[in-house]
Amino acid sequence: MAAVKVKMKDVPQFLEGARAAGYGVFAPARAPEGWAFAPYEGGPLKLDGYLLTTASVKDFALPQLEALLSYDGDGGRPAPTPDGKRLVFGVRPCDARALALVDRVYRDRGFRDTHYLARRDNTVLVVLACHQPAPTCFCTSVGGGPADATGADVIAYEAASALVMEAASPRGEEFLKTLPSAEVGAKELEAAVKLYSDVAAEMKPLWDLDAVRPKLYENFGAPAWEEIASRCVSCGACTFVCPSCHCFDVADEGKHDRGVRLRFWDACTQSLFTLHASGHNPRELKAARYRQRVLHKFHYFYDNWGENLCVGCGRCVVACPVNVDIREAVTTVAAGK
Amino acid sequence: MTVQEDIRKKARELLEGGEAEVVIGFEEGTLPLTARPTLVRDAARADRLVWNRYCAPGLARYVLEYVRDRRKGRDFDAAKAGKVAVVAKPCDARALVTYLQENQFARDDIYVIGVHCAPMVDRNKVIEAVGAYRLEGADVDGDAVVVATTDYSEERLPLGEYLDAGCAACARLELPLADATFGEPAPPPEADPYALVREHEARPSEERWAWITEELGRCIRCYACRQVCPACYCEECFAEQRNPAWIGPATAPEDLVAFHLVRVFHTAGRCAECGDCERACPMNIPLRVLSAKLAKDVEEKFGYVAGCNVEEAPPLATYQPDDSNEGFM
Repeated sequence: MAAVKVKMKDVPQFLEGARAAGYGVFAPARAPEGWAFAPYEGGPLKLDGYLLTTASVKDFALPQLEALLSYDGDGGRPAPTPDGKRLVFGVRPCDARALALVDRVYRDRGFRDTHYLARRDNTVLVVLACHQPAPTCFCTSVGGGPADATGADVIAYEAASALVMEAASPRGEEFLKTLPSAEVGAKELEAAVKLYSDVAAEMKPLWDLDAVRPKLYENFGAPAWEEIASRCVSCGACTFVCPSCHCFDVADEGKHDRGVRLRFWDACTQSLFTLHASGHNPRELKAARYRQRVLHKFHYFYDNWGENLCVGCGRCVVACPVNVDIREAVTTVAAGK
Repeated sequence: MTVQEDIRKKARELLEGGEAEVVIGFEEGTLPLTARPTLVRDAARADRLVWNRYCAPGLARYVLEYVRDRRKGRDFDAAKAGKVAVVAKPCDARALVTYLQENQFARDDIYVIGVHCAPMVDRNKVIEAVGAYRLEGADVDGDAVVVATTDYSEERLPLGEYLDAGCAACARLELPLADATFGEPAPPPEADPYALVREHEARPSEERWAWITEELGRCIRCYACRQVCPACYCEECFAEQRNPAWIGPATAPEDLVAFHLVRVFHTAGRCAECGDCERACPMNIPLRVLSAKLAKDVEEKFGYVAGCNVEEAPPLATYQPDDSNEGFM
């Protein structure tokens, strides 16, 4: 696919160009919580120290809260399909990969989630390959990598004082065509990509996924689950910062004669998630809930879609208030402890 | 003996002698500058317990959770049950006092391994200083946080600048409850513990409201603050009740404000000022300002500080015929 080169100092112009072409542009910016994708309103980009946003890119496809329909005495009306083109610059490969996985659920096998898909189709993800992963990053252990283009529309490699950008999807190809930029030859692109193989090589995989997967299920009843989850406080921090967790709840908000049906994120680590109306809770114990979270990522999703759902961004590891560490959980349980 | 050795020895004794059936303490975490809650049931595993400057998470909530879960067990026999031992900093001990006042368990159900503490390290400040991708390892050495970086260098940061803000401002350094006590009490800080609240109180109300809505507007409703809070132990939280639905279920701005303000009001006169709510927040919302404001109000209006004395009656849980009716319609 097409590749172009934009000098670092010209990146703001590149984003301005996208704005002029009608895209709502978002880029990583300092935020009280660390980093966040913020509306880009011109001026120089300050990416010094940028590694990952605290909340993932998930909100751009599956917002934490959205209206599905409204109703009153005259009947119900579906909420309008979200429109407006958006471009998110500086997404990390793990996040884009996560959305590609969530796409499977909301697009494939007959069921199509119109709101989710409208947002996905309206949004161009410009992925920034990673040359400085954090000690909590483990993408290479779960099938990804610092220059993985899965889920990306455009992938940008840092080369000297420029970004070499390659289209990674038809949507990305289309987008790059709309902007004036210097074409890049195959050799130069190859050289830019090559720099990242060293980064990947330094990130030694924690496990062989195919070996670990059956072990996790074999050890479904292992005492290790209880030990690992003994400190879990049953909040939803891990789930809500996770780019690939995609469960939601639905509730009606309103008065007796009118209201709105809302969809919002839900978390399997919280005890209400599986509470039945009868009062019975099939996952009453937090160890069972945490096991569900890990096995959904590392086993059940694979059974359904042939892919591992955890993308190794490490956000849950960082966000957990009591240091429940999914890397440790997988290693320990797979070892049969 | 170091405090860590004291704790291990005590844990071993309690478990070997059968006085306690579990010791709730800290073990080494998987990330630099982290210690994490752990439940030790076997004396042979007492050596996993650690005590250091990263033992910030509160442990009182685990005591209540353990006691509650144990009671639900089909074969639970109160007469045969061992004590639940817990490593308690002054703030943990204050939370335990509140549990006792609120009759969540009996004094004999627990064994309090009281530990005097020094302010804990704020890991996020260290990460901010060295960069998340550079933090390979770190440890406290005297008055410095010594950081090993991924680029094979070593940085020494002055410890005093990397302390948890809540710990650094903490003036409640006494242990209100302990069966054994280790460590030396630190000298009380000279700074006003309510300095942060006073700063906010001095601002015009519009400014304060703008601040509240902006900060709380970042909330992702993960409930980490509530789940780590020792005072938040309702089996069913108002925030999740759907019939009646006191507030909406998700992140509409008015629901976020309502959730946090109502939650913090529920902890008035009960908050142990541990600061866990703020530390737990993945969105870095300065929640401690809200709880400190209520602690200050309760102290000023009722002359009461939460969790200091089991015998004392919590002002918001008692009624006197001559109570002021100010504010009642």
